[in-house]
Amino acid sequence: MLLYIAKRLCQTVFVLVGITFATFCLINIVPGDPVQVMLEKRADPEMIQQVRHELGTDKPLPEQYINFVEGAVKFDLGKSYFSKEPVMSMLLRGFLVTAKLAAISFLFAVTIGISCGMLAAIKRGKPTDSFLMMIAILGMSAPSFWIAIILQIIFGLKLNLLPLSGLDQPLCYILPSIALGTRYAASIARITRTSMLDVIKQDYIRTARAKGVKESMVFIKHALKNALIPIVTLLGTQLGNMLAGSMLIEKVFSISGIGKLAVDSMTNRDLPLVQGTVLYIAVIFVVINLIVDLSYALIDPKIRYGKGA
Amino acid sequence: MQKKILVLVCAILALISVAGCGNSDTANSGKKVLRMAAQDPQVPLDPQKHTYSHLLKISDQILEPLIIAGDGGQLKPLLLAEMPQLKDDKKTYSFTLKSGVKFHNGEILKSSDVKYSFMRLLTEGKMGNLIDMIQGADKLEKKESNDLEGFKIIDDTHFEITLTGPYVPFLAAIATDYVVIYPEQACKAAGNDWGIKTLIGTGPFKLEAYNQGTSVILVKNENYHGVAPKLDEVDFKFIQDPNTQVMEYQKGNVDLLQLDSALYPTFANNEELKKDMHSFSPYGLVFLTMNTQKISDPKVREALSYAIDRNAICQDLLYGTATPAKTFIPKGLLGYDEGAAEYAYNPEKAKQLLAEAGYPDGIDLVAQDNTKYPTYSKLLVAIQEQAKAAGIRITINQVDNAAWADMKHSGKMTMAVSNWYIDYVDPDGMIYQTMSEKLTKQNSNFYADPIFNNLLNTARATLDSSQREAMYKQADQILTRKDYAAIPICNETMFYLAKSYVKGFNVDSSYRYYFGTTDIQK
Amino acid sequence: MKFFSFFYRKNKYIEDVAEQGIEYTSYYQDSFRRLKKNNAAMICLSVLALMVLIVIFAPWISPQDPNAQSLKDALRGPSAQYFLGTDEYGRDILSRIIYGTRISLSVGIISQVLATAIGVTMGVLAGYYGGYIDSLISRVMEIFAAFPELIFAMGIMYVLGPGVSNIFIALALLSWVSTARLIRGQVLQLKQKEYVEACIASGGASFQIIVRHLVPNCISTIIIMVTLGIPGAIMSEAALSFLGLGVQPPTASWGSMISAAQSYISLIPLYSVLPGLAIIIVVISFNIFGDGLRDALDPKLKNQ
Repeated sequence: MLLYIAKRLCQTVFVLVGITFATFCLINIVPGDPVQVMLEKRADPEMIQQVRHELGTDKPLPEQYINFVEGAVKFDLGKSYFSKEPVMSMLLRGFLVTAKLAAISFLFAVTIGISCGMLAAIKRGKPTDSFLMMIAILGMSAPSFWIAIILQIIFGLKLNLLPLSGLDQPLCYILPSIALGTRYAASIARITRTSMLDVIKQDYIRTARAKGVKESMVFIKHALKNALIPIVTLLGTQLGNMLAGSMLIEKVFSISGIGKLAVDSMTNRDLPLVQGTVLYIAVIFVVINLIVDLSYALIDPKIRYGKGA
Repeated sequence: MQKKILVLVCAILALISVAGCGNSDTANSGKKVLRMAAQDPQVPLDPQKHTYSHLLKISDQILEPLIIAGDGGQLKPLLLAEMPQLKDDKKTYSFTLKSGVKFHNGEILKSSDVKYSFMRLLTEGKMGNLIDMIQGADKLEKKESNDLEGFKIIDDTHFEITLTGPYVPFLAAIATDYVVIYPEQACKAAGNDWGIKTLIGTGPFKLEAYNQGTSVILVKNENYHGVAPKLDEVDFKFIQDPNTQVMEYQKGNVDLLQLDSALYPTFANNEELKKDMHSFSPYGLVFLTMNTQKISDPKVREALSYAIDRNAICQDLLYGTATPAKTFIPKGLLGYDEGAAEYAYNPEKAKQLLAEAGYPDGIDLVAQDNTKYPTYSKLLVAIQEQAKAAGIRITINQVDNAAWADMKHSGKMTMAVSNWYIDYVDPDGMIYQTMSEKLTKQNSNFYADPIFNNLLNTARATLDSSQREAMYKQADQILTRKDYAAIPICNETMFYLAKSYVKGFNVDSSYRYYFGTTDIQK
Repeated sequence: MKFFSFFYRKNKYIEDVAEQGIEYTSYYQDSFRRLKKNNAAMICLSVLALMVLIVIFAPWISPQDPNAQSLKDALRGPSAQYFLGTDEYGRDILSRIIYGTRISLSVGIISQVLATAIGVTMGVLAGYYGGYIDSLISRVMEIFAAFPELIFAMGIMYVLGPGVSNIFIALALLSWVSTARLIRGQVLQLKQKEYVEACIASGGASFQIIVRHLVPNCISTIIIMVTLGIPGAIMSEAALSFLGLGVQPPTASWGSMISAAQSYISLIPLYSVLPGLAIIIVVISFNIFGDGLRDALDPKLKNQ
């Protein structure tokens, strides 16, 4: 197992370098120049040259990339072209906001998703099942920012129950978490039900039932554990997506998390910040993938990673 | 297992609510706090370096220029004892600073601070062109000299500025919110933190905190040199989505905001909001900028002008929040041609012009659209449909702000909806700053008519105002009626919402948000 | 406790089929018979068929030209002339929704077909061959997966330029990884099965093993992934249109309609509700039909 983890870490470094290189190329291919944005209306050639020199974007591209990698190794991602703030501290600030929101949405999605999925599986074919799955399908089918706006209007404006924007008090988290988590909850519910139904037809479940094990125990102890593989895969991706920040939800609720940072940096071509956010999100995804893969191994000892990967 | 999850959920929710309690605002009772919904400027609060209007709404409370322009461009001394005197050579101004003006850090304003600020603007600022007619400014900008030759300090409160030649709008130019005065020592000491952690000026409010990405908090300057501010605190809350801004306003979480014009129809129908809605018309123009190299035949550009139904755009698309423009220089500025005819909407005439230009079957044009400004995107879509009737088929190419800036400065833009709001109240600020030869090269317009440029250059150095007026009228005529290098579309009205208890606040044509005289009376 | 894979029955079924010498095609015939009995799925299938008809006959069905503006009638509620009201340009919302079906359906389906094709190929290759191929594909997958979705899509759209066909590519590149990863996981499990091991040991051609044994066993996963993918693609298109990187004006798409309607949600709620409903209807239809198809194709049910 340790060997496997070490191997995976090496691969991770490879992936991260690949990602930063791809980002660097992408942003240099994409039309648009941060200096032109900064200078807005008054971009005369001398001024452009002066600012480029200040930012170091007049250096040859390979040198710029090497400088970035050197910095990144020392946890220095440079400064934003625009706010002049260290990218590291901007990311940290965005992360704290996004992580809290993601944690609550994820919790919401997992609790609602798995319990509804299991309930539907237990009551399969009955009205409860149809009702829950209908709700799940509805939840998956509505665009998240559409849900967000409707929630804002109903709970924030018409009923005046909850704050509309920002995250400066605990109640603020409710609407964005629901808007962000609804689709995830719905897909978790669906995949849980599907997976559970697949499992409960197996012989050993019948055996357990025949032995007189309580139905709820059959589901929780025997079925859920074996139904977990597809669920865990889905959860991993979803947590990654949530931690990467939702640009649309953050926009509607005026939350300055990672999503906003990512989009702003891209539209400004703020290269250090784009690199920083991409790298951050990449690290999140890679770590979560690692955890998902390791948990496969825990759930299903038959998948022998030592050989396969 | 479900129980465990439930316990976990409860625990986390409890933790969050405990953690969040510290933030609830209970301490504000009794204090007069004005809360404004604002857009995040995303840059250091340094108007010498960054010129976004979001930033100026904040910095105008903290920083001050020497002179200030009121409604209609009336200039008044602010940090000066009196208006500067123009000497007989018509190019040297002598200044006397108001005595006892203190910066927020307690330092007294001196002539050297003014000189430092001017030099900083020229060497580091974006708006150096506002004062680059000061003698020696070009040498300083090119780093050939370390001194600003034309700026002579006489003593701590007296100084003289000499220009390279007569330049009429000079005082108006230094009355803009970019030519603000910084304390030399503090600004140098702050280095890169200037505008982030420290920002010191002479204005009615002091920077308490700039929470990047979230808010700006300003507190009253107890030692303000003018009329003491009535508010204790001004909070700018950054809310990106214009809809959310209004909802927060309706909930009473903000007292003031500038309304996105796209939201106008929604709120014009809301009785409650309608009575809080105030309008102002800044000096400026929305126009189509044409690449005169790529769309080189003036007849084609004229045809496009005939194909646009400006009345329908203003009345129906923009809900009457704009009026059809008939000149480039807007009403209220010297050189505005009251007698100019309104642009006719005549698709048949447009077709005829196209035929004359050699396009009897119509013409295909590409227009670029900057997605950062939805209102202008909307305008372009309307123009696209209207132009169809005249046989002008427009393909819209939407790009984001960065790509837009790049295309614009590299001459790749073919035509686009553009706008201009003046920085200083003078026709020079309107027409020279957009359409002079040097600038059209940088914004994909490439208009370079010698007579037109000669008019602009002469007018800015002409002291006689009726002569100037005639020149600007003529220049406007050449630009918009003969060559159609810029096709005026409309003059916008802007709106802000302010709660009825916000007293002594008003935005006028200078487009300046100023809370120095604002009060809250609940 | 002994571990039983839920694929066990499936494989047993295929072995049974092989033993009994039943034609493989009859499996699909049976499936279709089962599908026909599923009322909900059939209703959704007819909704989808209706949508396809709408896509084809849009010019004849829609009461007005979707791009014709009548600025005087902007933002009106439903009337005899405009059944569902008008947008900010006075364009007929109903006609625009009808034409929007073309964009949303094609973006959803084409991008997901592309994504699934890439995903299944990559997943099977990685899972089946293992070793260096697996490592390589897995790394590529990780690079793709670790790229923040929207930034990635934005980047591709910036490079390719805006336009519908570029959305297909961007969204396909965006969403193949999850399919690939799931398929790889399943293939890894399937490879442990005796009959696959036997096939490999007896020198069966790889291609045949993949096509006959591995891919059919992944069908339910593929269906779920496509079903889950189409609404995602439709919504990604909305997000891209929202950022001005989707369809170019004046083309109507449901996503860009919702984005535009955001400004008028309290004035004319129908404008944002209707394209939202259109999305929900299509997505629900895909979901339920996909479920039905899964149940029908799933061999385990046949054994019951």
